[in-house]
Amino acid sequence: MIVDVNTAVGRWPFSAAQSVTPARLSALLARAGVDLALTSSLDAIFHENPDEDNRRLFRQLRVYKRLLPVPIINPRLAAWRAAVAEWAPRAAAIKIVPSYHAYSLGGANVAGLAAELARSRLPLLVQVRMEDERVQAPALRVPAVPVADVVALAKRHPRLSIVALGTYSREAIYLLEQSPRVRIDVSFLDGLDAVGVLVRKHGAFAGRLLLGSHMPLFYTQSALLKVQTAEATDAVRQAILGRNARKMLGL
Amino acid sequence: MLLYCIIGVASADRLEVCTTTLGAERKTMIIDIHAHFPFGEYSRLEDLDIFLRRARRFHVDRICLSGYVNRYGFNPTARQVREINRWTLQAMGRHPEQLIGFCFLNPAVGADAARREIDWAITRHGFCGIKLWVSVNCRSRKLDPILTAAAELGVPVLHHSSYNTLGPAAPNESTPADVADLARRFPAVPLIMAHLGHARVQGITEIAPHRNVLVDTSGSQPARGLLEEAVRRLGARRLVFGTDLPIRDYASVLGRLYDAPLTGRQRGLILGQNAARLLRLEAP
Repeated sequence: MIVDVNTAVGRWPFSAAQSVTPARLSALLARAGVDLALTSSLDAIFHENPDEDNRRLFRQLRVYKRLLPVPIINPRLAAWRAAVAEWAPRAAAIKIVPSYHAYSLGGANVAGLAAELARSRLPLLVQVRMEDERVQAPALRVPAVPVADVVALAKRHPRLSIVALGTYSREAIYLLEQSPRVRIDVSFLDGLDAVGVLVRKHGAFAGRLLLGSHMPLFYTQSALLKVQTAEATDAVRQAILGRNARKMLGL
Repeated sequence: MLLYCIIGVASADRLEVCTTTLGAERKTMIIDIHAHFPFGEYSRLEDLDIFLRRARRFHVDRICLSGYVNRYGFNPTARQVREINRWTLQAMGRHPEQLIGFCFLNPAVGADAARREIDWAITRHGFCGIKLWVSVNCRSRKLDPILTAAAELGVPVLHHSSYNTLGPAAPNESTPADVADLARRFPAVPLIMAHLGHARVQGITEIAPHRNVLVDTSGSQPARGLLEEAVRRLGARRLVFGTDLPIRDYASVLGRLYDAPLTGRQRGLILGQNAARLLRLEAP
């Protein structure tokens, strides 16, 4: 079973690509051979209060068994606890987008959210970046989340399952070395056989790499090929393609 | 003609599915127009085997090496340029069937030194193109003797280009608008503008009127939609497959080509036919 932990529906306003509906996303992933995907709403990234976007996401994804809704929570809002209470019982994970909702991972509300999710045993997906900062719209620059902040968060909440989405290879190595429980996705890993190099140099990391395509911003095949052509054992490739994610999600 | 069809197959080895279901495009050789060796941690000649193993994995037939362009900073001397090109020549000698040399140049070393390097690399040693990076902005007249030589020898010029929201990577870095200016001055020279991923739609529109400019598929991340937009605005005959290996990988760049909704004919042109035409290579 292939599991993609990094997908979304909607339209990225800075992309040349068209909007992707749940039906279209499900069809594209099916054609790529992806059996299951964690899916968020792109609209929720741009709205200070993503509640309505999350509600729509859950409603729309109900008929698409391939797509597991992942709500985006904004812990800056006073009502974040209510949002978690509403979505946590039905969600496979919770996502946060600190750079777009303008907060740091060191704040009290993030600590509260992290503690809540650790208690609920729900993974926290931290979107480190959505785009290569070098190609962002010039007037709309959004910095990446410093990976050192993810490391610090993981240290403060050792029982919380954290997935850092969108790290470059050098950031991924730092994160994986510094935080024995943090997982990463492959969407932004770069360089010659990036996944294979990571696994060969740091064999212990293989259990913490997850397939993440960053669809619809990125082409799904790029992420799939990174894993499927990695110079690693078949067991390692299969783990990254799905087994690691299934274990994390308790599937 | 079959589409480059990866659709509907949940294979553990998707790449094999991709390449065995190819139609017209598979009949052409696949050429990576933009790679660097040695580079970074891949510094020994034996490391070439890693590159070629990776290329075989993706059925890439030929790799064009542009040299270790940043080995001596933004402004290498003539002697350093020669050293970089010697490394390319050594690599070509080791794998002559797979590797094609592009002569790296710094226009700032002067017309005579540049011409000596061109004669050494292209005329004497069979390099097939010229590579220009960030030493001199391509609006500078210092490029004119190099472009004149390219026209005379009938070789393409691969020129770095980028729009970088964070600011230029080097003081003299060229943008697509600069490449368009170069193309206007030398309409008979085939120019390959590097990095579609950094050109973005703005850069595509700037080079569009200049039909002697092609763009390679490398640069940044596999942003969905950009390749289709480039084909729509430029036509598939003006794109060439290039990775910027080892900074990027075949997985990232070929994934874009496999996933984008292109026809088999368009993929065939981009994967190798356009480059073969530019480099005057025989079909296998």
